This record gives sequence, C-alpha cells and structure tokens, in this order.
Amino acid sequence: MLVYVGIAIVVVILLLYLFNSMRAKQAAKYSPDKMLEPLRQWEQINAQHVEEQNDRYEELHELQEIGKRHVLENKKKNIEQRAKVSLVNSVVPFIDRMRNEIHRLNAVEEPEEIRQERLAYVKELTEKIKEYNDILTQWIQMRQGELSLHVESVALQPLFDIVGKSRMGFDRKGVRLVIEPTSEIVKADRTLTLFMINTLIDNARKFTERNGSVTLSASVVKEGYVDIMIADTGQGMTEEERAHLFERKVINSSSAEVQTSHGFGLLNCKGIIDKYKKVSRIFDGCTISVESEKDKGSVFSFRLPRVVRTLLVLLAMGTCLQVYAATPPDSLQGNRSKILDRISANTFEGKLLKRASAFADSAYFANVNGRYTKALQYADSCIGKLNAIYRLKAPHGKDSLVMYSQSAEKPAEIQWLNNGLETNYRIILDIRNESAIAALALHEWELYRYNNEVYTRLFKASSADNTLDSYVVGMQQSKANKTISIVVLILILMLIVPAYYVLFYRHYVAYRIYVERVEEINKVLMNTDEAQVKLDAIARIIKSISKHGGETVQFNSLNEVVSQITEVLQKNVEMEKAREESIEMAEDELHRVEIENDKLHVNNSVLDNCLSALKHETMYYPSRIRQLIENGGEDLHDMNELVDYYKELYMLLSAQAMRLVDDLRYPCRPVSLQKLLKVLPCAGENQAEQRHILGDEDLLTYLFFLLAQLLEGQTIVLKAKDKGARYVVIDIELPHMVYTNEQCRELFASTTPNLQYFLCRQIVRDTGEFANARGCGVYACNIDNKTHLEITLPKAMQA
Amino acid sequence: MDKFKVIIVEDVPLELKGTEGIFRNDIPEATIIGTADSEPTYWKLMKQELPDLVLLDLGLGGSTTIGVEICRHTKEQFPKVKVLIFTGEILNEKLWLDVLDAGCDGIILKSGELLTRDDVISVMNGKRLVFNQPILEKIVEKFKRVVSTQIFRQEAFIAYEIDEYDERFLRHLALGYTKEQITNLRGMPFGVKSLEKRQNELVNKLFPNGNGGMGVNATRLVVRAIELHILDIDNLVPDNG
Repeated sequence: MLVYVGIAIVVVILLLYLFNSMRAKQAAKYSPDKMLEPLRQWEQINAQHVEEQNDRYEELHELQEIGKRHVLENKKKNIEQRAKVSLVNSVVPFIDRMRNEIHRLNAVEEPEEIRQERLAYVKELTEKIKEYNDILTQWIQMRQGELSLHVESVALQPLFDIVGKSRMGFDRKGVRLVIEPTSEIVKADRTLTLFMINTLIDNARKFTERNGSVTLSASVVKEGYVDIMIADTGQGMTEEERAHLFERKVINSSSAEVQTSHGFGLLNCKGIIDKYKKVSRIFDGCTISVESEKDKGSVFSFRLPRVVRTLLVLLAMGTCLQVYAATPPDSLQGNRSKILDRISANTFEGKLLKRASAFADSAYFANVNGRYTKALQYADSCIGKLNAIYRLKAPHGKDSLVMYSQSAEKPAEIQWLNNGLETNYRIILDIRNESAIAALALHEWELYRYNNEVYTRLFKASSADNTLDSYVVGMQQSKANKTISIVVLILILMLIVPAYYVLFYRHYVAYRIYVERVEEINKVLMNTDEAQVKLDAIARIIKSISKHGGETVQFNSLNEVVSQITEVLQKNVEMEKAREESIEMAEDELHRVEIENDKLHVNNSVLDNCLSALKHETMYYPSRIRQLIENGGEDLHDMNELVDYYKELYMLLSAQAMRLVDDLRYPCRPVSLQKLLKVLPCAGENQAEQRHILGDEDLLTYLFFLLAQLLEGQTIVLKAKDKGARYVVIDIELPHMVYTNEQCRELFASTTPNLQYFLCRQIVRDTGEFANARGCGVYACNIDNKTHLEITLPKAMQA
Repeated sequence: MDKFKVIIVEDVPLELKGTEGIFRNDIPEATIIGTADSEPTYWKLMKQELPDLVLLDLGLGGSTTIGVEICRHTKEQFPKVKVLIFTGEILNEKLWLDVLDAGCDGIILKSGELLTRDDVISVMNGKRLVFNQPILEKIVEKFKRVVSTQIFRQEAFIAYEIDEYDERFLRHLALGYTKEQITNLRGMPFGVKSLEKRQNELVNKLFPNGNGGMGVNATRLVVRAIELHILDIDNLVPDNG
C-alpha cells in the first residue's frame, strides 16, 4: 500500500517534471516574436491598403485638377456668351428709339422737316443695328468650327436614375413618376442629354395635374436610333398649339394648378438637336417631336443614335489567415531518494562462538559413534563456552547454562532469548539435542528429560521467532506508522494537486488563457472587419483578460505584445479616419467641380443656340425697315407693325438668353491683386501689393491675361490705388499714345473692333454686378500723350 | 416753363443724337450746355458750368453702372441740380433701386415713349420720383405683389382659421423656440400638451391635402406658414423685443 502510494507520488512528480520540461519547450514556441507575427502580417496587408488609399487620393486630386481646368475653359466660353448677350441687349435701346420715332411719325402731324429728321434718324438706327448684328455674326462664326459638344457613348440608365432622384417634387404634387429601366446606350453629349430629359420631365410635371402620371422610357427605333420618351397624362395640347410648339410662342395654361411657360425649355432642346445635326452625319436622323391630344396628355420624344456595347465586371479578393492552436500542459518537480546501508563487523565473541560450535559438532559425532559419555563432556564444554560469551555480554548476569537442573525456573537459554541476548541459539539447540540423545542412551532419564524439555522450549521459542513480541509491538507500531504515513502520503498527494495548481497550474492556466486571448486578438486582427471594430473587439478581449486573470502584470512579454498590437491598431484607426475624411472631402470637391462644369457646359451650349437663333430670326427686320424708309417712308403703318413685331420678337429671344445668363452666378471671393498682376509686364514694383479684389478668381485671372495679351509685351507702369472705401483703381500707363482719343472712347464699347477688349469689359461688368459694386468699369484715356487704361474693381474688405 | 440748362451724359453717339433730337423737337426751353461720354469729361463740364438738369445714362463706356456713382456724387456735391436717369437697363430692377438710393429725381427707361416733355417738366418743377410709363408699370406690378402679400396674410388668417395664439406659436417656432419656452411667454395660457395639440391642428389646417405622403415636422409647418403669408418672413421678431 505504502509502496503503491510511494510509486504514485513518484509518478506524479515525474509527470510534473515532464510537464515542466514540456512547458519550457512550449514557452519557446510561444515567444513574443511568434505572437507578434500576425501583427507584422497585418501591417503588411495594411500597408497595401494605405497605399491604395493614397493612390485614390492622388487620383481624386488629379481628376480635380482636370475638372478645374475644364471649368476654367468653360468659364472663358461663358464670358464670351455673356458678352454676346450684352451686345444683344445694347441693341434694344436702338429698337426702342426706332419704335418711338416711328410711333411719333404715325401719331402726330409734324412739319416735314422734322419728319425727315426722324426718318433719317431711324435709318441711322437700322444701320447701327446692322453693325451690331454683323459683329455678333462675326463672333458667332469665329467659334463655329469649335466642337463644343462632348459626344460620347452615354448609357441611359444612369441618367434615368438621376432623374429618379427628383421624385419628391412629383410626390408633393401628387403626380406619379414612372421610370422604365433601360439598357440602351446612345451616342450624344451626356450633359446636354440629361438637360433635355430634365427639361421635358419638368414640363410634363408642370402641365400634369394631381393624380396624373409621367412616364420616362427609352425604346429602340429602326435603323439604329433610340427614342427617349416622356409621356404625361396632363392637359395635352390642341392641334394648333402643337404645331407652333417649337416656335416662339409662350404658352400660358389656363388651369390654376399648372404653372406657366412651356416655351423656352423646348426651344433650347430643339436648338440642341439642331446643333447635333450640324456636327455630324450620324445625327442626321435625330429629331425632337411631340404627340398630344387635348385633355388626354402628351408624349414628347427625342431621338439619338444607338450604341451597342458590353460591360465587364471585375472581382476582388480578400485574404484571411489561420489561427494558431495550442496544447500541452506541463509540470515540474524534483526528486529525491535515499538508501541506507548497514554494515556488520566481526568481534571477540565470534571466536568463542566458533569454539562452542566446534564442541557441539564434536558432541554430535560422539553420539553418532555411540560414545555418549564423551558427548556429554563435549556438551558441557560447549555450555562453558556459551556461558563465557554470556559473561562477556552480561558481566553481572545470573543465568548460566547448566547441563542439568531441577529448578523450576526458566532455563537460562530461554531467558537469554527473552532478553534478546545475541548468541548462536542453534548451537544451544544442537548441544541440548545431543545431550538429550546421550542421556537417553545412558539411561539418565532426568538428564534426558531436562535437555529434551529445554530443547523443545528453545526450539519453539527460537524457531517461532522470539522477536515475536517486539515484532508484534513493532508491527503494531509500524502499522500505526504505516497508517500515519499512508495518510500523510495521501495528504501530500492530495496537496500536490492544489500545490501544483496554486504554484504552477493556475499560473500556467492564466498564462495560457492570456496566450489564448492574444491569439484571439490576433484572430480579430486578421479578420476583415474595420479597424475601429477590431479595436473595440480587442478592447473587450483585454477587459476580459483583466477580469479573469488579474495577474497579467506578471506576463510582461505578453503584455508587451498586447500593448504593441493595440498601439499599432489605434494609430492605424486614427490615420485611417483622417485618410478617409480627406478622401471624402476630395470626392465631394471633385463632385462639386464636375457639377459646376456641367452647368457651365449646358449654359454655354444653350446660349449658343439662343444667340444663333436670335441673329437668324431678327436679321431681317432692320433691313426691311430701312428699305421702307428708302422707298419714301410712306408705309408708316407697315413700318409701325414691323417695328412693333421686331421689338416683341427681339425681347422674347433676348429674354431667353437673359434667363440663361442669370442662371449662373459666380461667387465673389477675395483674390490677391499681387497674384493677378503677375501676368502683366510691369516694371516689377508690385511685390508689396497687399490689396485684394472681390470677384471670381478664374475670371479675374483671365481678365489680366487678356490685358497682358493686348499689351503685347510693352513695358508699362502700373499703379494701384484705393478709390473710396470700396474700390481699387488700377492705372496702366502705356509707354506712349497707342490710341487716339476717338479710339480710346471706342476701345471698351460695344462696337469695339477688338473683341478681347469687349471681353475685358464684360468681366469687369459681371464682377461689379455680382459684388454689387456699381462703380466698376474699365476705361481708356489719353493723359499727357500717354494712353492710360483704368480698371476699377471692387475691393475686398480685409477680415 | 422757364429756360433751363441741361448736361447730357451719354456714351453712344447715335443715342445722343436721338436724345438731342427729342430736346430739340419737344423741349425747346432746354439748352444743352454740354455732353459727356465718360466720368472725367462729366466732372470737367460740371466744373465749368453747373446745369439745372443732368440727364444721366447709367452705363458709360467700359462700365455699365458708373452712372449710379455719378448720381450719388452729384447729389452730394450739388443738391440743387436735378438728376434724371435715362437708361436702357430695362430689366435690372436692382440697378433702379441702387440709383434711387443714390438720390436721383426720376428714372426714364429708354423704351416705350422714351423721354417726354411732361416728364421733364415735372422734374424741373421739383417733382420727385418721376417715372416714364414702362418703368411705372413695372413698379406698380411689384407694388401690387407686395400689397397682395399683405392681403394674402389677412385672408390666410381667415381661410385657415388662425388665431393670435397660433400666429405667436408659429412665429416663435420659426425663431427656434422650444415648446417649453413658448409656454413661458407672457400671455400664453397653454402648456406643452396643449401646444402639441395645437400643432397637430395647425398641421391639419395648413395641409388639408397632406404633404404628398411625407410627414410634417415643425420646420415644414413653419415654412408652410411663411408660404401662406401667415408669417411675415421680413418681420420675424419674438414677443417682448
């Protein structure tokens, strides 16, 4: 039992030792470096991601730059358009004057002289108007060759989706907007196509009442064209209205719910289709048309060339990683064993014993040979030797062996045995035996009986192990000892378990739990969640570690690993956020630039049409009036009608253009004057120029660029000074008198021979208009035989 | 009418010819003492001899609106001189307002009957705010619109059954007050629950046909009140200052 327990303990200790060594091995396996490997891998992947983000940001920036450049080009074109419109507007007073004169001619009877005066004046006016028209024509023709349409393959569905965004306007009016999906692609200018769809949709909404519906769809038509249709269940049109729809009649609806002005949008759309046709033969089949029935609704449609194409789609992949697994337990222990040796030594008593033994043998041989009396003598000698030994051992002892005794006392040898005397009892047994045999043979019955009895008793006592008592006591004691020791050992065994636990296992388990948490962290690190989500998950895990462990302080290496991971992740989250924000900003900015560009593009294109149309349609009238005057001026009635109609038409067309011009407003921001002046070939004194001009930077830059071109590299003297609180006057002195006084007057006028000066005037005019600064202007005059250009611009108030 | 002196400020020669013709034929009492086609020329003339009337075009040469500044400075320096604007800017109402602010005596648009003798006489007789027919029509149109707005306001109150408390509630909502703050206004007898009830009633009143399927929050309600002229957006002030 003891042995088993002992073996069990030894086994356990061995196991602990084994586990400890295993753990040592494992500890090497879970070194911090290994723990940090997923972090390294993640950093690598992340580095890629960061690079991608940076690339995207770069890309957005580049696109922005391109967009801004396009915006600049479009702004320049827009200024030209605006200048043309202002030219158109400056004709109006002449027409009014004409009208006035002709009315007066018609109304009152005046002396012939005055009448002739008036007629002459009217003639002059018609000539002037023609002059303006010629400039306008020339200007338009200058740009005729340029393709201001961006024709490309345009998928219709994205445009339909954009239209779908304006659903709310329809909902509010109680009109259903139905958009039929389409996969068609057309060849056209994307922005203008969207503009046309929006215009027709808006019209449909205006003319449809509550509970009606508007449907947008596209369908393929013969010979490779696509019809884009906008159908409504509105109030429809009569045959007559429909016929004149694309002519210039503004139609007002009678229904109170419906808003007015069908006119301009359709005219613009028609203008665009006409423009397409001018550009290329593929647009030959393009049209815009309408079908309608009074109170039943209308279907507006326009036709564009069809494109067939396929799309490709790309897939992306992600990565994931594996998790580590872990196992083993281990333990530790030491061992101990001891062995005791005992050494016995030889002494003097040994010699005596030898003699005694020899006598005993002699006694035996004597008996065998029948010399019984001799045997008895030998026995007596032996006893004498044995007694000598006894006296050695116990000098004061009273028990001596005797051959024969009649005493009832215990025989000496029994006494010796009881006292634990160390001697050879076998010799005594032998001698008693031989004595008994000899006595029997000699018929000494008392001697025989005595030796026999002693022999028997001794034999029993010795062979039966006379240490029996002590043995029993010992046994009892040892049993008690054994029990105690077993109990103790079992306790120890039991204690080993909690000791193991307390000393090693708990520590180990905590460590393992920590390691497992770290592995969980690594797992989270390598998953595909967002960095912030990961960080939160990891924070949770860390919290659970400290909740359970508490002893995490000990595991320095693991602590370091965890803190490193969290640090890196945290930094990454912050930087990621910053990067994403800047990408979002860049995207928004790009979007803004694109929208601005689109607006300008549409505005420019539609204005193109307006101005061409205006020129075409009104060219006739001044000439006709002139003709009438030259024919005698008697057809006053006709002239009256003509001039009235001319005025009306002109106002209509110019109103259309004005609408478009008013649609666009440029923001007014402070612009550094020094920056603007850099373009000019100054005598280099403007470094200290601190003033700022209020206006649109692109336009102002263009203004000074134009001036620089006009000045053709002549050295000039430039002075900038304040004019009142709100204006800055820039005085440019040319080296000599470049223009006569007459030319100076004409330089920035509507009839200026150099259109670029006219553009300068337009920019200054618009800047003043947007900044609400009425004092702006640009003049040329001669002072002291030098031509001065004087530009007054609004001053930006310093913040 | 007595004789008087005129300076004409006009940069387009053909138009100047027409204007001179008008004076010659219709207003013989006027003596044209000078014509200017730019600002510097004008001031030179003014230095030489002050006129009784300046007929001022607004756009000169490279500037389209310098006339406004000329008018302002003339009126500041020479208050007795009458300034009559004669302009082709027949659409730019903002410009008319600016030049009225600059102190002109009247605006004549270069359209319709252009410059008439009657208008010039009115100006010379000291009448202010002289307009020729075309601009007068435009002004009256605007005037009608503004007054109609006010009429709308009255009518909206009646049509939508708005009482004083509704108006105050809506006005303070528009100013950003919370309902708690509104209940604390002087002379407001309602608690928050009553105000909420009132708000719901107002929604029903002002949106008889719903809001196209969308919910009506306080913002929408207030904007609706503004649309219907129940609230005057130019006069949003809280009670008590």
